Amino acid sequence: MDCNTGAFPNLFVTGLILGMLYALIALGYTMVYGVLKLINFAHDAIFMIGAASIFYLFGVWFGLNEPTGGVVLVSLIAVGFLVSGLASGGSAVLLERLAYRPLRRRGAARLSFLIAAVGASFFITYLFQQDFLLGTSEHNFPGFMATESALTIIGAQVNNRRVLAVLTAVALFLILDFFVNKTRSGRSIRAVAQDIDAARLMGVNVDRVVALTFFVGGFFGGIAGFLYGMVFSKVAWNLGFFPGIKAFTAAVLGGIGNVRGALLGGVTLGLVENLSTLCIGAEWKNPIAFSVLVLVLIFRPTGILGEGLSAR
Amino acid sequence: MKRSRSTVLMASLAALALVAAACGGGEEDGDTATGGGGGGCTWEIGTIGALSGDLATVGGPIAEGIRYGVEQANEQMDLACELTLNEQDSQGAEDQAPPLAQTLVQSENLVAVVGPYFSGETAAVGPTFEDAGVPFLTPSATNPDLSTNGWTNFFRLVGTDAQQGEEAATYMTEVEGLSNIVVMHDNSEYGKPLADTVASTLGDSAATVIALNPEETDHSAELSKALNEDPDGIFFGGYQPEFSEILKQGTEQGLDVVYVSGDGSKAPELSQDPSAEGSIVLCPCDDPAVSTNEEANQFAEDFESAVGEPPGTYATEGYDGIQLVATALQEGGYDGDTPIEEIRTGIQEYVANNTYEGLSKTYEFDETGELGQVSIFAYQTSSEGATGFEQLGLVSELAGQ
Repeated sequence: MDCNTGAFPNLFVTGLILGMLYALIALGYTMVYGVLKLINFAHDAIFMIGAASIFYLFGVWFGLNEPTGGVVLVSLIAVGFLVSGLASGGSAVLLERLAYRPLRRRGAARLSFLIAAVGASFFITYLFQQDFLLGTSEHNFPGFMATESALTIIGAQVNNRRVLAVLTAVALFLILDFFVNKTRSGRSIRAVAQDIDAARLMGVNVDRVVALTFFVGGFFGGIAGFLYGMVFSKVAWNLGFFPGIKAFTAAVLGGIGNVRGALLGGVTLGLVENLSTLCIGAEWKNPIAFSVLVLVLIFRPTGILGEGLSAR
Repeated sequence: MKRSRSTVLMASLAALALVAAACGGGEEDGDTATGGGGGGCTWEIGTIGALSGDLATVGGPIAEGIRYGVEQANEQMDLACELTLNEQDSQGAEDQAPPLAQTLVQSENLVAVVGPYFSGETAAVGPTFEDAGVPFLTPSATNPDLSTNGWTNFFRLVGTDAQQGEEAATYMTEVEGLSNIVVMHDNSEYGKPLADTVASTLGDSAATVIALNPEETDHSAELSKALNEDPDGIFFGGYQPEFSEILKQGTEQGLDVVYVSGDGSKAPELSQDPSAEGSIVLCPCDDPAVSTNEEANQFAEDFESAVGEPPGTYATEGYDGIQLVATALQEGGYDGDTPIEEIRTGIQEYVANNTYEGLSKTYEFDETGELGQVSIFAYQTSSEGATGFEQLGLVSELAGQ
């Protein structure tokens, strides 16, 4: 076995960045699970909607395909965050309203939620595959931000888009951690996560809290879609499929229901995936990453951090 | 070599036009608009391929070339019966194709088939056509194994992946002067053998072979490994969407090398991203819109005004396939009363034993149904070109062989 130790810096840095994106998507899975014990499999489609909204707004309607700079670029990125977040957050709330709330009202079994989630994922994904939306072909992400090499970390080149993605992810995690742990709305989310009936008895509006949870998870998933589309310069109907599976894995790896676990799980998965190719072929990337998941779960069934939203 | 080919083509076209004019005058006075197809009888040419579904982006242009070919044959050639097209939509799936092939061979007017388009479905339906004695000419199935089945009715109108792989290696080492090439592929039935041929032909010039998962978007791990080899070139065996991703992510990671891919990457979408500018695609196809052959340019113009879009990849081969069958029908002197089996055999014999000057190349088949001489063209991605490419020329000529 010959190991390409020379490839280590690049594999490490790209794995770290990829992991941060996984983590950002994983938030949507982990928050909804924390509150409702529901695995929202449609979150991959919600993520894709974030990227698609930017494709439509910047690419199709405003034709912003030429590189911009300075104030224009900064405001475009800010608008992009807001639009992708609102598009995905709004879609997530709508999804909850149409697909999950009726089931909750009727006290449906957990399996029904799961089937509804899988169904919703397919529905949205294949809706976007239709010609009047994204169609079957891949589109380029609007090129309003030129790609240029921004910095070199331990010998690996990192471009400005990836730097933006990492900085944004870190900032969003800090904001979310503060929101969940320090604000009134955050406290109500934690209350519902801990005991839904008790929270209701204490006067918490459960429906509003659930909607809020979906919105926040969707909002962050949308921004992740924006960043993912930009980093890989691609928007397509099936953009969410693989990142969705990986992010869900990251959430479980870190401890599903746990915000900090999502970050840890995402980064771990990204690094394991990339570094596993150091000594053997890249086609072993996924088998190795998922073997690590299984191993972690054998020894720590609740994931690395292993505590839910409720415990904090 | 190219010039002489054009001259021969031009001469044969002129001769054909004369014959058509003479016969038209003699037999069908006053009915020149419909041209051939005099006796009220019909001859059917079948075609099977991806006319709908995901792969219709590949199958669609081929079918357009075939339809245009039938239209032109009826207008310009003097055939005793009218040619009609029997289209069967397999969506490119090898499990859907066999029943459709059965439908075709049971048709009493079927004289030949131009298709199927993909290698998998061709392998699946080959025995059906062979048993029925129906000549089938594939315009685009490039898997080398297809000609090893002993099918006498099989003809391939393009070069194989093996031939393409060898020429790709020649191009990279002799034309581009590369010496340390990373070979990548998408682990598909098409991409992997192509990449393996390239790697084995390259020998010591191949640094390493790396597989990637086409369903994933992020290829940073694979490209990091490539970067570690400090290559001067990358070859990718696979399809355009993944080649685009390699180009985008590779240049971002600082892989400033010559990028080369095969015919699977020759789609107009490739040139949409600036990162693709200057990358090389090799194809056994002569893209008529950007061809250095003026005859082909004219064809592209006529095609576009008739169909509404420029001829896509392998549209010319589809067109040539129809023209070749029509020529065989004309030369055989058949009419509406000739038994269909006799016509099928006659077409097989004509195609197998004659040299045909087509639009994209000279068609001369060996006993396995392969072209004796293949033409692999090199294209450079360019936002200026009509179809997103500029033709550099034949690899064999560029390499000075």
